[in-house]
Amino acid sequence: MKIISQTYHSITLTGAPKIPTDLLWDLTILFFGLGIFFLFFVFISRNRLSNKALKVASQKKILAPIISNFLFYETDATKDENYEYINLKIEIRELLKIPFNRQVLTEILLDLQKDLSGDSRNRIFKLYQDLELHLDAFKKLRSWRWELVSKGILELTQMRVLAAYGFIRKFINDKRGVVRKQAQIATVTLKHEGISYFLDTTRYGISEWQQLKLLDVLRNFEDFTPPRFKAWLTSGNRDVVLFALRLIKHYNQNDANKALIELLKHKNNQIKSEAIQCIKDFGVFEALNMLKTVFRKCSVDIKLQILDTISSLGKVEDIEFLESIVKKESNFLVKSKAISAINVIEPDTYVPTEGIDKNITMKNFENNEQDNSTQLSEVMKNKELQPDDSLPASDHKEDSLDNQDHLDPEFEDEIIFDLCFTEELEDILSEFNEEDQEVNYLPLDFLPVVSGEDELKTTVDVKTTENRNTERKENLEEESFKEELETILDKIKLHEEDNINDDEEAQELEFLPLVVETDEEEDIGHIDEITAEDILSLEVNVEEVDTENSETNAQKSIDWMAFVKESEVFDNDLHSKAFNEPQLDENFEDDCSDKENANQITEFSGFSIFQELFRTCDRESKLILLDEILAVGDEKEVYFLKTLLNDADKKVRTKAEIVLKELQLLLSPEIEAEETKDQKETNELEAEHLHSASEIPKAVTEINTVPISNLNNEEDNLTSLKFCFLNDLLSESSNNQSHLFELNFELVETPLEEIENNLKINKNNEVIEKEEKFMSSLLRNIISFPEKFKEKFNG
Amino acid sequence: MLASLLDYRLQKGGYNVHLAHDGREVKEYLKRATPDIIVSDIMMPYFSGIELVDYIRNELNSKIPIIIISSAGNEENVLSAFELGANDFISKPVSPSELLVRVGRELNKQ
Repeated sequence: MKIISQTYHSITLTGAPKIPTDLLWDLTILFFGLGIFFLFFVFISRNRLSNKALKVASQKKILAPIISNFLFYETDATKDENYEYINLKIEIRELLKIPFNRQVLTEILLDLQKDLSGDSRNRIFKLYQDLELHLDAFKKLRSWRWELVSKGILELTQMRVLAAYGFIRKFINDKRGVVRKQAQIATVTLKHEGISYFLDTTRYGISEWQQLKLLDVLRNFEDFTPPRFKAWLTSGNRDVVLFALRLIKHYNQNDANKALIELLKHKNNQIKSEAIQCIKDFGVFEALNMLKTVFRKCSVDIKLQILDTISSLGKVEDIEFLESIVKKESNFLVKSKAISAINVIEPDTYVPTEGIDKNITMKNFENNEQDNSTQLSEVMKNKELQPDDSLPASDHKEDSLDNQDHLDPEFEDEIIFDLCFTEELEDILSEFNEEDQEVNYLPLDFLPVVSGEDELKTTVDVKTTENRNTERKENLEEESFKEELETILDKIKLHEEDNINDDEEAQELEFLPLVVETDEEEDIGHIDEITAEDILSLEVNVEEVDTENSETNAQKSIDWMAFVKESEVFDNDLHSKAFNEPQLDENFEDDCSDKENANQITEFSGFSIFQELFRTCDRESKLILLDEILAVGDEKEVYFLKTLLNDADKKVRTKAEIVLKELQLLLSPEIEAEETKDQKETNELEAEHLHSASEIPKAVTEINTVPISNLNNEEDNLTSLKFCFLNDLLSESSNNQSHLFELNFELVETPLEEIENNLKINKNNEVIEKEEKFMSSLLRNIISFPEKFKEKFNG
Repeated sequence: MLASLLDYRLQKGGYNVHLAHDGREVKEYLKRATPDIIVSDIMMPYFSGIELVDYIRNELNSKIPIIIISSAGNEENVLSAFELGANDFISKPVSPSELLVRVGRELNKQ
């Protein structure tokens, strides 16, 4: 039991501390009392402030009109106004005896001077002093409370009390920062010489913000002549020196070069930086040596600034120093800046070296460019002399390859394109030969990158073509491309000779615009010298160009031109007259008139326009055309059909025979007489109408008044297919007299074109069908050509 | 204070002036009467000068000339006021003589 009693002690629970409830009650009462007192204090203070604000507001309402009256009082006022002014003066004097009123009045004037400008503001300043309110501000200056002193200084400064200058400047070195700063601003603001006094006497530091405010004050001065601030560069106050440097820079005072150079040795980086900035701005060249001298001891920022200054002021002699920095300086920024400075003094001394592929060496293209141009011009000349001769493809290729190493970058792409293009073309041609030997037709539609417009224009206007031709001769790029294409075309011709035996199909190659363009231009230029064979070939070319460009707007012109040529060469006078007249543009009219005067017309019995069409179309087209001959044909077509009786194609031969018989029947005198009657009526009506329409050119009236019956009757007057269509339309129009008026205009502009277009569209469709049928594989190659080209071009 | 001063100056210039101390008061007044011209500060209690221009132009569909007074540098507000249809703008500090001229010019335009 003893052990147990030793092991287990009886646990005595700690009792709750005794709380002195009396003390608690006392504290509660105390804090409650303090709370109430605080609330009471706040309440009292708030009421007091609000009451004061109300009093001020009400007092302002009373004083505002008085002040307004004083401010806007004019000496030339009426008696009543003068009387009122005097009364107000007396009244305000009485009011000002009360300090509160003085305070309110001061507040009013301080507010107003902020919101008013001009003469009113000056009157406020005057009124402030007239009412002796500045005396209150002076009293404040004597206060021991810094806020009151500061307030007094501000008040006197804002109200421009110059008399306070002497009192305020004493506070410039006040130990209380707020008062000191306010005094500094006031001193500088009140008088122009304040800045000098301030810089002379200030002993305390001038903060950056304070410097800005002082500078702002100086900036807003009118008629201010700033002192020479170099005087304060010798100040013992570091901030004064700094501020003086900034003022020197602001006012561009460049008479402190020596001091600036000396300041480069200053221990303070800020001063050094400002001095360097001044040296750079003022172009102090004599400071360069000092800049170099102090360079080593400066911080990185100052070094950068020095290098910047040397780059703007330095000469070639300073490059040595800069290069030594480049070699010795470890800091990347400084090194880069030194290199940059060298490049500024002597451009392109240093070139980029980092990340440059050294394997690439620059090639000299200058000589080659000249060679290229001379070669091209020679080629042009040769071409002019020998239009049919073009450079052999292989030679040209060799030339281009030779020149490839030293080409001007501008031509490089074009030559690469040409090479790729030639290669690709060869591939396509070879593939084509392998795939389809039966089709002796080369789909070279993709070739004419050269616009058809040029071609059309050249056909329309021979004179303009010649001019344009001379312009082209000046254009090397175009010529080179042209030359390239001619080379290609030579290849094509060679290819043609190998593969194409049929003459008609061989002619299909002639539609290539460039070939047509050059040949045609030259042929037109020398039309007098052309043989009959040449004329035929020329005509075919023209017609084929028409076919190619049937969808273009310029089609009208080129068709007409072709038609004019045709009429000139093969038709009689009447014919040429008739078809030259419906002009659609003035240029064309001139050309036609020129050509009419040529009188180089060959008598050609029985030439039909179908003859041309038959040369370029396939069997199906020929059969369709034979149907058309039946519909529109006349004596010429009879002659033509007779020639077709010996055609190689049996179907064509048979069909021609049938059509010939029917056409001969149609052209019998009885039927002809009926047609002539209808057409006569129609023509008479049209002639009347055309006479009334004076605006329509004479040519148009002539075409309508030509008796078509006569044309049909006279065997010598050979009517072309187009005129036959016109004839047909006229006969139709005679049946429907209600539309005669409309038809008249259509005759002028549309029917012939429509017919031509229809014919050409048909031809085009046939050609397209043929192409689609036989050239699907080739088209694929052509479609993929750009992609292949891109791949080759991108390597 | 500026308002009362300008009020005095305009009255002295021969105009009959109604002085309102905030935007709400102006709005109430406009329901009762139509002044020949309104000279308004941009910063007003309850109803700013821009709102006032908007109210006059778009709600009342009135073409009363409005001259806006604002502190210099408050370009954004001034531009907004012009976009809404204010006729003229004077920056603080204001020259009472200039205001008088501008008021006369705007009234002559009518």
